[in-house]
Amino acid sequence: MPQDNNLHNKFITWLYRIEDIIVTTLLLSILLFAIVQILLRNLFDSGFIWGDSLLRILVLWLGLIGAIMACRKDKQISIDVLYQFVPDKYKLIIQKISFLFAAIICMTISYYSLLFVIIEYQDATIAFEKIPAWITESIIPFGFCVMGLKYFVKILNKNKL
Amino acid sequence: MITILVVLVLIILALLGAPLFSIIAAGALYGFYSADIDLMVIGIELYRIAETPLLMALPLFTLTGYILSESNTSQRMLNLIQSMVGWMPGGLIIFAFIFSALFTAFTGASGVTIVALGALFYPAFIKAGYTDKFSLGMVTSSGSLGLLIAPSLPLILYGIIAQQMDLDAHFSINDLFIAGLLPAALMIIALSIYVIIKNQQFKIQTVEFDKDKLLKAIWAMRWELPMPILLMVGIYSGYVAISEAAAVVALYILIVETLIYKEVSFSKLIDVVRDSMAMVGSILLILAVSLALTNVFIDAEIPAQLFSMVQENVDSKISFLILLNLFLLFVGAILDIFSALVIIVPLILPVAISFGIHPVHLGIIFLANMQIGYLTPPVGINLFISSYRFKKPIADVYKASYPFMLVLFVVLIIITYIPALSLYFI
Repeated sequence: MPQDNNLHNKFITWLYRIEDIIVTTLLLSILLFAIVQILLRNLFDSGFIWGDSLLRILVLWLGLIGAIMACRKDKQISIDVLYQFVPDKYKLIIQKISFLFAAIICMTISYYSLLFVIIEYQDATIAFEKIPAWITESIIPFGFCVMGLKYFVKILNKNKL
Repeated sequence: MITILVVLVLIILALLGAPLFSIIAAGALYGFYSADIDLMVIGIELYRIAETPLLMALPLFTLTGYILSESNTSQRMLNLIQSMVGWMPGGLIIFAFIFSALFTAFTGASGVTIVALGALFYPAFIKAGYTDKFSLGMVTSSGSLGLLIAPSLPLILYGIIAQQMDLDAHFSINDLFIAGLLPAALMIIALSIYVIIKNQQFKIQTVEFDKDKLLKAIWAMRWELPMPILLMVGIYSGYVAISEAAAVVALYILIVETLIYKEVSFSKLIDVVRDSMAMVGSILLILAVSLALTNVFIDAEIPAQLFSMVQENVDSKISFLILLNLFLLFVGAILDIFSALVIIVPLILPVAISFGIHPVHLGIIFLANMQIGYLTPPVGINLFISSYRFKKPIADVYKASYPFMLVLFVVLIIITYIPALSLYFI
């Protein structure tokens, strides 16, 4: 089904582009906001009190989106000392097992951190100013869910090394 | 019994190449589960990343490093070195070591130095009269020389991890930066001495000193030269916070390379952002999950058990240090530096402190060991990058670089057993 495949590829490219845009926006926001904070502090002796909290949360978001991107080309840090000595014919299956393991762990983290975020929502915890904590925390279940999905897709798609 | 089994399975999965964050996370989840702690706690643990003040420096310095290695900064550096010290036998090499160290300090520790700088130095060394093998060794071993100089990512990361651990012994990130200076200088000096001794074996070609050329080379770098100087003064004087410095430098380099030199186009910049943030993401991910695992360790009193186990067999600080060096060399040979930092530091730091080792000194020892790990098989990353970049078999690269590794090893011993080298100024 070449047509189907084409559609699938388009969808993936589209998703990648969204990731690129989000990550670039996040990084530039961090950079510019940090500069603004420095200028305010040094020139006008002021600044946003919640500025540092916001920056740290943005770094968390940036990190998790970056981690999602790192799944794209298997850029996650791994050790694989033994993997190099595995005979070629077993390499594919071993990779699939690794991915399955990663997928299950990601989904587990996603599920339990979602429960945590729900509790934070019910308790109406505040992150800073009037921003509720469940919003800033929601990236954790979301990020791990996307990573888990990516690993599942990898298992299905990968048929050669 | 079940715990041993779980640990064994996790280790095997890790060695077979499962993403390291999933292994560490699985360990943490299992730890919480067996301590009857609600697994929801994983959300709280991971969110702790957002409470780490230094962390902003990580993406910003990584961005700076990636932009620098995409532009022609390395070519300008080589021109500057050649016109400045090309007339002096051995001058090229000594300054190549110094500039490589600075380049590594600014670009993180991802082997970028070999790709961006080494690729230019290698032919320049051969042209100056050094043999192929010797040049290859120099380039490979200088690829991780700046680990101990601020603002290298591993140095910052060690500071972050140690500060998260709530130790009795407190230190600031600036102490760590200052502590790295003398040991780093010693490494450069030792390597330079080795090269100067070896110089007699080669017919070194020198170039005549040309003042105009030098001025031209300095002029070409007029936008980039002030940056490291300002940053170093800012950081080491303690006047600028590291995360602020990271923001200023990132913005400055972004403007200089895209708008003034125009060497990084907009579409290229998107690629740079994507690649650099994927690396940041993978580092932050293992850092986040290992913070959780560290808490599991502490709850289970594993560092304390480790300490009493070590104490039964080791009676003095010196013998502990010897053991530590051996252990870290082994770790450095099988783990990359970021994984080693997040996994090993939380385990050995409390033990080391109990033996009276200053946490700053331990950081320097740790990173110096890891630096040698970059050059040791089976996973010495510099060996792979050199082999890939210069199209040489790994064995050749290893043979070319092991004399340099021995020199670094001697320096490691000195750094380890003379704490004053690291601690004198703090």
